[in-house]
Amino acid sequence: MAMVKVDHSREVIENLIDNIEKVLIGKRHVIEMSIVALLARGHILLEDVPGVGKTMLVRSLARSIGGEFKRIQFTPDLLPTDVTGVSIFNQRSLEFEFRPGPIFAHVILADEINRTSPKTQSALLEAMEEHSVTIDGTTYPLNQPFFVMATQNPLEYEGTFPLPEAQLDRFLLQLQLGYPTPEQELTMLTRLSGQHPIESLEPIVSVEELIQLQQTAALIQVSEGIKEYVIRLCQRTRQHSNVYLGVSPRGTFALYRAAQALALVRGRDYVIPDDVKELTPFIFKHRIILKPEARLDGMTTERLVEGLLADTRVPMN
Amino acid sequence: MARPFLRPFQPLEWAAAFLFFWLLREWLLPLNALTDTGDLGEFLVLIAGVLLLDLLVQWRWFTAIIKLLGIFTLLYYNYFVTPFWELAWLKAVAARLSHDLPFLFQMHWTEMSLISRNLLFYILLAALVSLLAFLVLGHKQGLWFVFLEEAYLATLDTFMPYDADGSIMRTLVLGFMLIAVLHLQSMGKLAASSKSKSFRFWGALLAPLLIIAITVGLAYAGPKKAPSWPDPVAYFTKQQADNTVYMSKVGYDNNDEQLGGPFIQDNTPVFTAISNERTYWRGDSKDMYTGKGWQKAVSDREAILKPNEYTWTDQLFENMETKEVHATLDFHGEAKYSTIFYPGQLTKLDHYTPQHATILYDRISQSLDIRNGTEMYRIRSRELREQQRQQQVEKPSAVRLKLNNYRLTAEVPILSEKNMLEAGTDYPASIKQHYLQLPATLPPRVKQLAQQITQKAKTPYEKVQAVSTYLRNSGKYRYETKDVPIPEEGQDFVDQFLFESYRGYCDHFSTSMAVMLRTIGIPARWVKGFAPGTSVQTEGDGTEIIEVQNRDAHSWVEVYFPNYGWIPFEATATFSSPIRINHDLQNEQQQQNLPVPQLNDQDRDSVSNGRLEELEAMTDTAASGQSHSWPFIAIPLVAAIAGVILLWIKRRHLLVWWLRRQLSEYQEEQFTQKYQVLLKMLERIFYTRHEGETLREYVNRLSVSGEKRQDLWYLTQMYERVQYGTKQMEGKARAIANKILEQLSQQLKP
Repeated sequence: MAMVKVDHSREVIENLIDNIEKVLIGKRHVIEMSIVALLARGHILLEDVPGVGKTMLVRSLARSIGGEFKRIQFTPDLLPTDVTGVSIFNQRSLEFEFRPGPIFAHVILADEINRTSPKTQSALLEAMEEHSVTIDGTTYPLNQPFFVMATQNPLEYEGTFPLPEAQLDRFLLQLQLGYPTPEQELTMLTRLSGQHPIESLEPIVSVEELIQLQQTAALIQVSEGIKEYVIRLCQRTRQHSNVYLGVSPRGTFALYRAAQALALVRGRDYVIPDDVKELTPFIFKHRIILKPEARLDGMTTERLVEGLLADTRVPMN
Repeated sequence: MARPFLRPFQPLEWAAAFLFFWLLREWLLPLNALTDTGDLGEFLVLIAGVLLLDLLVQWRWFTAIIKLLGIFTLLYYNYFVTPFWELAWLKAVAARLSHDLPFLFQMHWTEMSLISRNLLFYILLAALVSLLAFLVLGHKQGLWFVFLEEAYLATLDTFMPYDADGSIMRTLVLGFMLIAVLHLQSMGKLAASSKSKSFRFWGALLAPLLIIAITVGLAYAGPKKAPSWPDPVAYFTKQQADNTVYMSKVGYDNNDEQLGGPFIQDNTPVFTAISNERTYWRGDSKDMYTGKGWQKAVSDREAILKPNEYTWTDQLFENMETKEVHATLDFHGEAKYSTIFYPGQLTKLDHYTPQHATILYDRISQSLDIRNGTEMYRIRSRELREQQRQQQVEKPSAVRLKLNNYRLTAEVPILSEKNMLEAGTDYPASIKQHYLQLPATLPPRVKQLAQQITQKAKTPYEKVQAVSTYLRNSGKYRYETKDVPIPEEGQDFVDQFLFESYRGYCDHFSTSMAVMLRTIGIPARWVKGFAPGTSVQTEGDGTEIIEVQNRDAHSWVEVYFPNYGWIPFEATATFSSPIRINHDLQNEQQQQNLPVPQLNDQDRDSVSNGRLEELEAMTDTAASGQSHSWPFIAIPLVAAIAGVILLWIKRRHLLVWWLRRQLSEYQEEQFTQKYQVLLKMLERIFYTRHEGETLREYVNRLSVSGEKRQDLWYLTQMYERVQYGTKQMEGKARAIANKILEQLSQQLKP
């Protein structure tokens, strides 16, 4: 029974990936990871230079799941209400009327999130965590599914408000798109010469179907050995001599959920150690803060995680 | 990172250490037999202590300090009586060490004091045991150690007068057990995930025990073929002699526990003597006949610290007319002995080198053992300690020394036949107790023969003469050195000579005479030394320069006569009596001094005599004179080495073969266990899987291609399904997986 469900899910997910790949060329792995975050009900932080296709990724994803897409460009003068929405006094009905902000969509692109004030940042991030918005004492639930892809620009440090650790923790994965290879860029030029492919993108799954997929992902089997493996990996970041701040329990849960989702993406109804190993770098990268002296010694979070994975015993059951 | 002070307790480790201790003991045991080392107890304590420390404590520097302390305590216990805490003894040790260290670097080791030598030996032993324990127990590699120990014992057994049969057997059993335990330890680590652990454990322990018991039992009980190639010692000796028959060389040595067998003449000079009398050179006497040879049963040793100030009186011949002999002995060449050879009975010894020599004098056998100076000994006896608490005793060193030359004054007896005839049979009790001893296994026909020979003789002297004449002049017994059989197992040496072989050399004649005399109640003992030798030059004043060679080694008989002591008699045909006899019985006026036996050069070959050096080593094939060539040794040796090398090269094949065999032991349902064995096989053939490597990553890394790779992938995914997905395998899928696994295991080769 479970097998049939997984097989069907896999088919849907494959179609979804293929669909997005029509727009975003040669970025299959990032697409897969985005879907993992979507299925695990998490959000994604993209840290990359401008113009590599961040917006395209989010837009094509939104189109493919037939959901509503909104984009919020974060600027220093953006107010929290610009994100969440605002109550306006309707003079005709003499009542306060709620005008929903851009956050009331299925897929949101929060562009250059570190350029706005912490006040506005936290408005978005709280909504992300709680899946609801409270304005003037009234709580408005957000759409299901709700998926945020935030970007921050690593080059521009001037006039930015770096996200605090507690906020970073709310993103399931931190990804990088990276530049395409020359061949991929050539394909891109050919494809973009006519009508932009995003215009002809058809939805692959309905919102309802997606919610069902999310539910299936949560039921993926995780053996005791794998659970211990996940815990051991997270524990070791906290005990590591070079680490100032290790992975939080929320991070442990994130790794667990993401591994389940990845297993589903790969068409399995059980998690294998390879799933965990594949995800760990993307989940740990923004959750670990190295000690300054370790950074001075040339240590990076990437290398630290690599070392951790290499010498943590892989469970055999 | 600091290691904990104590090592965690692991029963297997302790078991291995226990076995290792007994193996090391086998190592030391030969010291007892081959050297002057008296008591091995302290060394065993040292070994046990070192092993125990290494087992208990992980901090190496700490164990090193404790070991050193232990060594010094042991030293204190052996040599000092002053209270331990006063530390005066430490100063004494330091003084000794600073005095002795130069000798160490000059390689004059025998000059060093016992304390320094002991201390250095303790330290060396402790370091060696630690190192060996680290290599054998720490690295769990026992085979090389057992192999080397067996080689060591076999070498000792072959080249030294040491019987290592028991040791070899014990080492084999202990060694295999050790290897089994060490292997079990490493297996235990590998199989940590195995569920039926305790069952496997006892099985793994019992199986080698059973195999060892069966193998050793069979080897012990089974019929054994005689050695197919000759003893190497005798073989090498042959290389030096022209004779194609290889035999042992003649010479003087201390071990007479087994007599018989052939030997070859050896003309190596032993000493040159300048003497006014050519007579026998007495070395030692022995009192206990075992049926195979002679041993010393009793001895009463006197320490003579300054031999040149000591005078011996009447040790052998009491109340007898004697002639004084002055002789200077000069030993040259390699053949030197730590025994003083003297004519007749010794009265004075001086002008010897090295001058620091001391002597242990055995009042019972009248033998003089030369020792290397003196040593301080702490008195062990309880009463003595109470009386003289602070006293240490200076005694001759335990180390033997060989003198280069010495001058001696001695007395040779002039035997009065009349006195001898009147001597009677009033033997002292102690003489009767020791010198009438005979082994229970002596066949009765020896006694019957002795009675028959002596039936006409009335007095002991007449009986002695009758036996001597029978052996020397009856014509029944032939002097022979080459075609001489060795007594078989259980056969009496004397009985074989008297009734079966009728041929032999001095050992046969003298032993037979002594034993026959004992059967008819006359106290007799067996003496050895050198025959008079060859006169090289005669000076005007009657002194002669005499050359004594190894081939002059000889044995004869001493008979006890009440009031007169021990009188030497010759038993061997072709040799003349060792003493002057005053035939005063026939003609009381005739006071002639019989000339010393003149041994003319013509029959020297047949006259000269000697003793066997290496006896137990001889085989029947050897005795029959069959010659052997190098290939007999070389071929098996080369084959063995080649075999070992081949095994080493093919070790991976062997391991894989063994794992493949293991695979077939599992049931169909035990797919996961089978997969794990397959994994071990892959690790043996390719590379080991890292700890942090997943199965997929590992399989990807392997350089397997084509179908094998697909099969491996399939099996890995199956394993993941069962292990991580906790799913049951369906019958059909399992059958396929098992079949693929089987195929793959057959195809995989290093």
